[in-house]
Amino acid sequence: MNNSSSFSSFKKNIRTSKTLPAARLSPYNGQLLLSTGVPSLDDILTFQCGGLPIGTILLIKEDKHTGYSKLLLKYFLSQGIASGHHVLFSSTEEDPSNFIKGLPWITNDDSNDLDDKAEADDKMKIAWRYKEMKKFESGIKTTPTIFKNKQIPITGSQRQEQPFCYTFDLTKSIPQQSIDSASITLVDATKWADEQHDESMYDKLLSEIRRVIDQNHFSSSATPSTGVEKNALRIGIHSIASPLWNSNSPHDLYRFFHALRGLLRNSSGLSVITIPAHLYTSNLEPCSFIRRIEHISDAVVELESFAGSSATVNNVYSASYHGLFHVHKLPTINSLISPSVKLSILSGGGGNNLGFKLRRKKFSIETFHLPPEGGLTVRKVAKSGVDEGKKDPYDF
Amino acid sequence: MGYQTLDVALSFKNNLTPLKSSILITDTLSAQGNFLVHHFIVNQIKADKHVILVGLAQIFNHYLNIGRKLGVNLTVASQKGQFSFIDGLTSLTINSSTSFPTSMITPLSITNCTKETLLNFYSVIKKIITTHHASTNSNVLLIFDDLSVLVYSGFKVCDVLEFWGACRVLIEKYDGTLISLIHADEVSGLSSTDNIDFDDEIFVKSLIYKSEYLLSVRGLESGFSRDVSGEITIARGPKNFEKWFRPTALHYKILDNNVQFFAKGFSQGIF
Repeated sequence: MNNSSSFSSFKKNIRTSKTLPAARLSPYNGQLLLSTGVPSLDDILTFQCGGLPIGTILLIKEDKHTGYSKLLLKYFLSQGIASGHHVLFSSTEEDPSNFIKGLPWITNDDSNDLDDKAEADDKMKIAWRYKEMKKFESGIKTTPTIFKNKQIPITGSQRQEQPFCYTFDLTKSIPQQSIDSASITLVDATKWADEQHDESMYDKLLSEIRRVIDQNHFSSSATPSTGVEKNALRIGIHSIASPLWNSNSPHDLYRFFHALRGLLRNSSGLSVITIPAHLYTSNLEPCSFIRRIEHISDAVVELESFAGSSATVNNVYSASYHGLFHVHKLPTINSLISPSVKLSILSGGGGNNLGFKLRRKKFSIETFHLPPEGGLTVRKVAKSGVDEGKKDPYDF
Repeated sequence: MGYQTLDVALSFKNNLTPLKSSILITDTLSAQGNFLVHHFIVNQIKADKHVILVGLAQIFNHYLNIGRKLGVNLTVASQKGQFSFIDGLTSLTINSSTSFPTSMITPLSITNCTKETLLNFYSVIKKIITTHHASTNSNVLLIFDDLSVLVYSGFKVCDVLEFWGACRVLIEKYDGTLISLIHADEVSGLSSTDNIDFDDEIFVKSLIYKSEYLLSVRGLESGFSRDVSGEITIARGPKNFEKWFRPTALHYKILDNNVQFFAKGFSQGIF
């Protein structure tokens, strides 16, 4: 970003926002945001309909034995392909092209929220007065239409309006033609694992990322050549620092993150990286190897699934949630404090506990609380022992 | 309200950092100490003094944007020669041929974490100080934003400490102040075979021992609170016998363009 004039910060950002597809300007601090593909995660990171600021790294500490964090990564990449961003993916666990083929895809029907429909029909039978009140919600609605209108009008832009965040359906997989037409760079780190080299795998991955940034002019300092439209780069790395990544010293990983942060800060890219942090600790205490990486990342979240937890989980929790969602660090780039602290609905300034759940078609993060005592099933009064002629024991 | 409360608590003369001394800021992941760094930059620039900022974890834009919110323009300050920025984030790993325009100096490359690299780094800092200050009592403020980066990147702890000591001597010679931010999380270690934790502990403790003023930032012990971002302890270093200095502990809450400090238990949100 250039800072030639001191007062035109607003203008400057408008200019950049015109050049990036499916990006949104934060009204809070003028930061360019891209959606992670999960509306509730966007809300937690900044605010409702917000997202991850460009130039930052989101670190996801993986859940034990389950694959929920991989799902978040999939959403992130699907959102990138749907928005026409350049996508770079790397993994040592599986063939990256297989991973791309397994991405979820945009849902066609808008009425996929069956739960909400059912709730709407559910008229109040008692306490009618409360009907007028705002409905209690623990989640974030996926309504891409609302913020389409709210979006700051960009004058002179010929590009058609793109939704900032698509709604994805986990039961659908990405069509082959979308993969073919998308600009994707796959870095197959599985091949490196067998080779013996002096250079660590992180260095290789970094030079690969650097090459992509240089070739596609993602760097903000590169002179924008006419005819080339600026695009965003999404970098997804799955299970970094797992045993399949070999490195020469424990400092290699930190150096990778430090260099990546520097690269991204000066380019229109952002990255989501998952790390199996639980492999590095014997107990639940944080260890310094992972803590160092957390310090150099811009945002750190952690998924803790009930299925992978050794502690017994109360049935009440596991019935409605699949695990807990922890936020360790929020992106505070170019500002003293993250807008999320003030604006996020879900995290409520960090005061709320968060849980995640996976339904058949979508993954969502919600505020975590106990269901009403006795469960949500309809309570019925036992028929036996009630006098004939009275339908209800409370009837006179 | 705001940062003035901190200035009162620190009771530094003219709100400027004490000369010939080192201020150490330690922070944790849950409560980050960046807001102190910005405050000291702003105070120094407003008093027309020189600041050298070594940004190892952030780029210049970050400081510029926050400085703007706090009421100083760092671009103007650097044009006037009042503010020097050493980019340690992007230029650390990139070959000098492809340097970015915002980075003014490319001091070291992290690929070889040797003592020579740090020596070069030191000479870069020395060059800036000597070119800016012909006289020796110029009150320069040298800030390392996140000195931990050097240790975490693989430089030897003793080398980094030696480098820091050299900077300290340089600063004393020019009647300046040295501010270093480091991370000091309390984490349990891996097995005993790993010496990462050992390095961290030596590093943090050595710097604490060699500093006059300690500002330790951490989250609340009782967990997260909406009205209190964290706790800051202002303490005396082992070699500091200044009588005017009063060690205190305050709670703080970070706002958009200010930070509120208050005595423990006196958060506005509580009443």
